Amino acid sequence: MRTRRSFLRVLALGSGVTVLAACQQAAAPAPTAVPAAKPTEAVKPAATTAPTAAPAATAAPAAAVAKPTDVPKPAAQTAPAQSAGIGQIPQTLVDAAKKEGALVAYGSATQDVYDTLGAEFNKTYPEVKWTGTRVATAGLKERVLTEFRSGNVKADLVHSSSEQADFVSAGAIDPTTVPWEKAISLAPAPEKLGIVADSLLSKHVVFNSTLVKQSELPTSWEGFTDPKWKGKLAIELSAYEWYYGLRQTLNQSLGEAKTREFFTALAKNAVIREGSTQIMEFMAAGEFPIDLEAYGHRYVSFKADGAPFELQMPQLAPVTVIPAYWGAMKGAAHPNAAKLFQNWALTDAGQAATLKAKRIPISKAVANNPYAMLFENVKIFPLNAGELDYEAIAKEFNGYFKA
Amino acid sequence: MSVQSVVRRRPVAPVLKTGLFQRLEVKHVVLTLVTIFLIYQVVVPLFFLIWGSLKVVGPTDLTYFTPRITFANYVRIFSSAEFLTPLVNTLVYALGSTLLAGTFGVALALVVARTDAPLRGLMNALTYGQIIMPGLLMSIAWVFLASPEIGLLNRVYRDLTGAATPAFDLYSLLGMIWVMALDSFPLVYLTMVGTLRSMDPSLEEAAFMSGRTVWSTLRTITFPLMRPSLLAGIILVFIQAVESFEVPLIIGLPRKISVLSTEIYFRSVRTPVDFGTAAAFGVLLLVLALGLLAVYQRLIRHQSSYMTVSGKAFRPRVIALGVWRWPVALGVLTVLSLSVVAPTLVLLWASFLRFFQAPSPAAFKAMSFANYERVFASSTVQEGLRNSLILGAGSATVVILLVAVLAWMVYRTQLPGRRFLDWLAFAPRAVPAVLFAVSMLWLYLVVPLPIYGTLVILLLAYITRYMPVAMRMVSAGIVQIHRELEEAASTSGAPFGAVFFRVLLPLMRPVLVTAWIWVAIHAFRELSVSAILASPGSRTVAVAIYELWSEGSLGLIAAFSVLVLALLLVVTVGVDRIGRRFGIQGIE
Repeated sequence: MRTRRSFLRVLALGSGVTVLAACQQAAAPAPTAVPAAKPTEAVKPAATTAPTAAPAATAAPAAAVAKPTDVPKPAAQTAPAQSAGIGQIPQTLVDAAKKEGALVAYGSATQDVYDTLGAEFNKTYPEVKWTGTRVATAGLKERVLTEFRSGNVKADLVHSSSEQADFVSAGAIDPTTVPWEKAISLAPAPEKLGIVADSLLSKHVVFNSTLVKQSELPTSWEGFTDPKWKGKLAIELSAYEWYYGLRQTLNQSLGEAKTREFFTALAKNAVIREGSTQIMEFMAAGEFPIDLEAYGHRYVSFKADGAPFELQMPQLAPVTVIPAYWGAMKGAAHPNAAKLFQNWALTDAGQAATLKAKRIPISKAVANNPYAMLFENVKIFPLNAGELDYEAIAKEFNGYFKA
Repeated sequence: MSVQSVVRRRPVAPVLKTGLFQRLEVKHVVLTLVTIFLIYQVVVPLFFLIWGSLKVVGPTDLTYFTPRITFANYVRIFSSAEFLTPLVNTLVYALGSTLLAGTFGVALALVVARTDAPLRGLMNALTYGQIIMPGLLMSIAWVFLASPEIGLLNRVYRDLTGAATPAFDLYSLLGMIWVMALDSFPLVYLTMVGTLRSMDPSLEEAAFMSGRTVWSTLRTITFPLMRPSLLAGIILVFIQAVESFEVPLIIGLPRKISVLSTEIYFRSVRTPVDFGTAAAFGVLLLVLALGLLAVYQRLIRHQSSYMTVSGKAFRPRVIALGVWRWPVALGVLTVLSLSVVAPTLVLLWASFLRFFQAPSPAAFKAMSFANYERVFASSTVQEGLRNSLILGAGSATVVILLVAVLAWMVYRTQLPGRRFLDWLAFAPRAVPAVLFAVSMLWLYLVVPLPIYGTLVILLLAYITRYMPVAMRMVSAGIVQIHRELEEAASTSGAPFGAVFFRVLLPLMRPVLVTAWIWVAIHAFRELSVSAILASPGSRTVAVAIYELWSEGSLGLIAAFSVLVLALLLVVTVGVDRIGRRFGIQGIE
């Protein structure tokens, strides 16, 4: 009897989540659509930015509303009036945040990202003392939920990707809307969630060109199931979002049964490691030649540091693109400071800080986006928070790659 | 220094004489306080563990505290085949590394404490060097050394022989056993070396006089006398291997070699979380470890047969190795080089590089101090160093005082409930670190004390976590101190406090200092518990390293490790020097 009740409770909870996920799916681009045909435009950063465009990362807000293809010239930074309200944060919010005096953030990006963002934020708002901490990706979701449910909310803000939908469904998020988000963002957060997307993450096939030649690489995903790749393909321990994007695409082209066969075969060749950046470090050292799901922004910075890395493009579709979000915590000590930061993150200064933190800014207005090349001539699978059932996908992934 | 002189220096304290207090002595009060503290520290988290194993929902669920319980988790772990592989892997891994660590630890202790082999001081120093190297760094260093593709040892082997296949494959059960054994043999060494140094040589001399050979004497006299410390060391190493998760995570994961600890770890903190089965595994491991404790206590029941530290003055007998002096020393130093020197050097090498690579003209050209610059600029690193220094010294001091009192009560008094105390002090060792941390976390999330998110929660966790090992070390020492010294003090009218502080503690000083260093260093490098309990502001060195590891900053980790190792070396040598001033035999 006891177990049956527990089962029913779990079932009820599960269906609740599913319903919620379904609602969110309805709002977001349908994930089942052929990604190639679909919203590639929507998430593509200013790929075709004219080379003549001004170098300033802090391009004019005026340009923000324009199409990514015509980010022509940077107007003076002091001309926000051209587009109504863009980048304008209500003074009442600023004052309230200053009164609170501090802001605590948790996130799943690297620590230097939060150090950089915080330093930039504090340049504008020195009265709101920033403490931003990386919480190792794996533990972030559980820590946030645990603190929330036990009434020990320590973070005012949480920065992560798909997990945000779980925070929302747990009731942990204090909804925020940045009025001009839609106008400037390449991938605005689904309105229902009440969170703010500030940057993009993307997943690519990257290889070490001293260990393997581009001509040797397969031009289709199925090619990686060849036994000759055994032990050569690195995948991160919790690459759930990458898995979801690829699965959805292959389901379309191969059918579900073939897709399952594909992942079973791929898992046999895969090397599982913890930490996406760590995988790239080891790949640079020569531990394995191919990373099947490398972060695009990391690829760019590794290459800049002299790593012999190349992208296998564009045949291996899709590039899964995932926004990262800031969610404000309900019951936090500094709610106004949190909202101030969420607004600031979508100002020119905030987006410039994102670029400085070596992440892909989400604003269309960022000129000379060094990450634009990641999205040239590729099919994109856009993945918004709430589109995937994180728990279910995690279990499915583990069934293939951790068994 | 005679017992009489110790006692005479201080006037006898007045004893409470009237009414109810007549029979109430200081030791009863201390016993009560210690018992309450232990129950709070041990039983309450254990309750959370056991409770968790009886619930299908996680602690974050609202129904977690409803009285409805289920055995579904146990049914699931026993009826599912996916648990058999980790179980078998765990047993092979733990037994293998215990055997290897035990053999090497005993051999090393014998050589250092009881032979005339040269360079014994160096051996002792290198072993301390090994202790200060966190298991996480050890595993990372061994990846650089013996990974089939990039491992420097494999590269050298391939260059020398022209072979196509690597000599060592680190990513195997054997590789895990090797690294874990190298990581844990100092525990065996430390529990043994004190005993061997302070062992009454009369029995061994008697054996020699009767014409026994060195080996025969070792086998029939020395080893049996060593049994309590040896068993203590072996049991602790076994449990440590069962629960360790750094080695399986880094070396086992790439080939999907899963063990119970990684299963528990993933199920406790990773999505998808399955706290119920994780806790059920924790309870099973608890039962296993308690079984081991029962065996241990049975074996040392007749403790008087091990009393070899008495009031008589002596120096332990030294075995003359003759022509074997240098071969033995070189053999020991080779293994120590693999466990300490090689990992340190490879980390030092990596600390100068942006990307790890084998030494080559190009690599030398690419060397820079960039990683060190980044380390000094890192806020995480500074925070970690400060917190770990506080926690290391703080928890070691509290633990040593606590276990000195505990060991005395358990082994020296007839107080009721002393066996229960011993059990309480050991029980937390049997709880896998990750689960213990989750239990502590939940305790302080639920209990309305402002401890969550501060250093205090870590301090409390470290006390509980390191008490068992310190207790075993100190017990092994106290068992060998003959009662006659305390009895002489008591007979001369010394009260409890004087006997404890002026007779027992000074006699136990070598083992107490050893235990202090052990706790301080382990607290300094502790990861499993800290990773879960540390919050922004209270992150420790190991958490900082873990964050850097999960971020992938290998060069930064290498630079940070080099600094941490240097710091710990200075601390250890400093403590040893201070210890020696008080007449403790340390690094020769």
